[in-house]
Amino acid sequence: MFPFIASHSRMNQPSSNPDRDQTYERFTSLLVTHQPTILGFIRTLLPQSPDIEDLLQKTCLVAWQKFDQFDPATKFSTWACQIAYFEVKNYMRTKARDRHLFSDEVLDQLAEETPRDADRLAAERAALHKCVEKLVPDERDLLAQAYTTGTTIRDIAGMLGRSANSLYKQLNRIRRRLYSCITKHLEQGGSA
Amino acid sequence: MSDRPITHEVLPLIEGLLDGTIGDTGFARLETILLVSTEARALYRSYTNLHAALPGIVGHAPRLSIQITDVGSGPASLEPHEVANDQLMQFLTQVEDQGEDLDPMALATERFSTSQNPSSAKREYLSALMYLYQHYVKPHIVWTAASAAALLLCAVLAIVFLTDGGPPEIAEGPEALDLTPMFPSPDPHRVVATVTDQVNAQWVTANGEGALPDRMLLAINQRLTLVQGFAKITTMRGATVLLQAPATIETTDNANAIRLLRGRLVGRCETPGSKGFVVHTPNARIIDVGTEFGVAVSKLGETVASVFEGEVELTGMTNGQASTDGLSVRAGQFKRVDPTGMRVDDADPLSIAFVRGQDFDLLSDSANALTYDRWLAQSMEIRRDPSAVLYYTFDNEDQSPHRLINQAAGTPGSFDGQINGPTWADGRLPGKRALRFRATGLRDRLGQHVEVLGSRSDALDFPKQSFSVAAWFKFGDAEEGLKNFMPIITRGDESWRLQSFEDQEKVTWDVDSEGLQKDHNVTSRSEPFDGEWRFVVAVVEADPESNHTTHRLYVDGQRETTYQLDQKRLETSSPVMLGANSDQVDHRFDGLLDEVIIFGRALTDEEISAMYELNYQWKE
Repeated sequence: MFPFIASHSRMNQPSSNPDRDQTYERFTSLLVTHQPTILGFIRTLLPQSPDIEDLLQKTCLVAWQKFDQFDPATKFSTWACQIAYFEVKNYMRTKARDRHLFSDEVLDQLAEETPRDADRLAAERAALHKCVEKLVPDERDLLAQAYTTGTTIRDIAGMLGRSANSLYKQLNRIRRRLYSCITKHLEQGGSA
Repeated sequence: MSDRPITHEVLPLIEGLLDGTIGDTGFARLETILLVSTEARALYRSYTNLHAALPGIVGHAPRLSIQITDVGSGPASLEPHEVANDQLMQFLTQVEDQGEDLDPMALATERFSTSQNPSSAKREYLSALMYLYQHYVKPHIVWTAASAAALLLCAVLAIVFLTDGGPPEIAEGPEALDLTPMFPSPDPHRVVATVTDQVNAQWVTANGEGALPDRMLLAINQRLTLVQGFAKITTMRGATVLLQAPATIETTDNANAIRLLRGRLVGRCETPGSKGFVVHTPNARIIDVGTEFGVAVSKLGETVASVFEGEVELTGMTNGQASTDGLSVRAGQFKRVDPTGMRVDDADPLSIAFVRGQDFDLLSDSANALTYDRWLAQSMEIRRDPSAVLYYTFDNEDQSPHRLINQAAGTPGSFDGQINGPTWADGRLPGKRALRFRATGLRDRLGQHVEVLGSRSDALDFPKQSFSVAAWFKFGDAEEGLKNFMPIITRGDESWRLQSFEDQEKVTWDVDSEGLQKDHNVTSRSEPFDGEWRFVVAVVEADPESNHTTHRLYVDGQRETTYQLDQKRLETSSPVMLGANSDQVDHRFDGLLDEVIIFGRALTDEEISAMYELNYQWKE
């Protein structure tokens, strides 16, 4: 479930403004549909940032505040990514001294191309579901630990009695296989 | 993933970035590639997309925890990081005031239980704990109540995070608050460089022989000899030097220069301040103008400069004075300065191999890596070896299931292997792949095999030159009658064959149509039909002074037989094949092949032993 909605109590409150409720429902519907694209976009620009979730949340808030400016004839994901881009730029100004932030040139290129790539990326996400199912249980468990338990790779490595480095490598191999599977899946028209 | 070179280089960098393990050099390289390559950017987007989507697929979607009370009342006023940072500063101030009377648990509960952004607060809190640990617990050997409480709290929080799904950045947190000076030297003005990374490094210095501590500071005019392994040295101005043993260097009184007395190094300007980085050799001076380059000083006193990216200025030096005009050397060029420093000319590009940044990172990673990754590190060295003509790693099943890709850097795009029948199987190391051959089918045509494309020409001839053929194999359970002449890798009956021998369950190296075993025996002593992986190498060493060639056969790193005979013409139009012999259709291999390499030179005993030993150590 999308956390913006989960944390918002308005949906359960009686409303005195039906038009506004309708607008809100349209907004949340679009947001639910395009949240993975926006999240992926922010992650693309700030791959190492621990503040992705905060930036997503801010983007959603600003998008809601400016929703009356959204042209329904255009793509919501592109519009929302533009908002996210400004949020990322603002964020980067406060983090100028952090290591491994992309230069403006790289950032601009990625920001320009990523929304145009949204359909392909969405297809890849859909294929990813199928590809994850093909992993053996141990690999799925490892991914689940790495991505959802809130522990670091070092923590998991400690629990498993392995080095963090070896775990990074194993995760990379799994991701490579997933990527390869996604590519094959899409090459075969999504039927793999 | 059609552009293999880009993919091969950029993928590990992307993975390092997403994992948070990438170094400054790697990040700079990634940025450069992303800037210029559309394909790399597309790959990067796909990978970050995958990375971002996985939490929602394997578990939970990203959790946001800021409470929004009214989305319709204008811009959000929350600044969670400011809130968290403010709380953190108050927390630390209180810690400073209370010192050993601190009760971290109570303090943390008080400070952070009402945080509006618990995720950020947890991160900051963990950082604070590490700060506490560094400044209060670690410096005090005496086990105080405060230190016990702090450590206990760490354990409690670890459990909380495990069950609570908190943010995963804990381990990286301490860096933000690490106040330890990077160069804690009592006399920083004399320090000109630091040993920043080492891989199996052994040194000889004025103080003796052995390993050096990490972040060893180097003062001016300090001489070090790297007798084993690899090391990275960073100058105070930010230039990096990758040293590969054996090599002797000396620092100078210039924090943007180093002296190479013998051996090889790769230099790179990492920062704007390092532009103009200088490498002095006994007979040359190389000035970097923002690039990556290699310098080698041979035992004979020659200096070879090779530029990988950008440009350097090369000057011959005699008795400390410039003896030639400065020569601009650009990417791809190799130049040699003779021992007198008076003459500069072209050098043979295949004469020397340098370990560059990416290779070093792989080597460095391999120190604690899995078996597969250590193999990968060694494999990168082979790929870079300019004498490697053909190199099948058997690791390209995903990209090209019907073809073995030749990974030798010296012959890009040539000599791929067409797979006709063998199937993919597990290789000799966990995560490694191999091809399984079955000795089945009609006897009037070739059985399962791999043909090296382009090898019917003279491209793989080594007329009057030395060469070596190496392979990892495991014989299968073929029927007794099929064990005669099971081809591992061959080039027809007119040239050479590495294959099993008669019914003796041995391996033999045969040359020309008669076969060495007729009169000469280059046959293994060991009997490798035991279901184990074996490493076999055949070496042909031509003697330019005589008409003889020496043939040597090695099994599992050990030289088993040697024979010298008159030089024979080994040229043929027969193709090189794995698992078959194009001139003997009923000879067929049964078993597994993993790694196959052809070098255009004679490998030494030491090299072959080292190749095997590394693999042997990796067995799990």
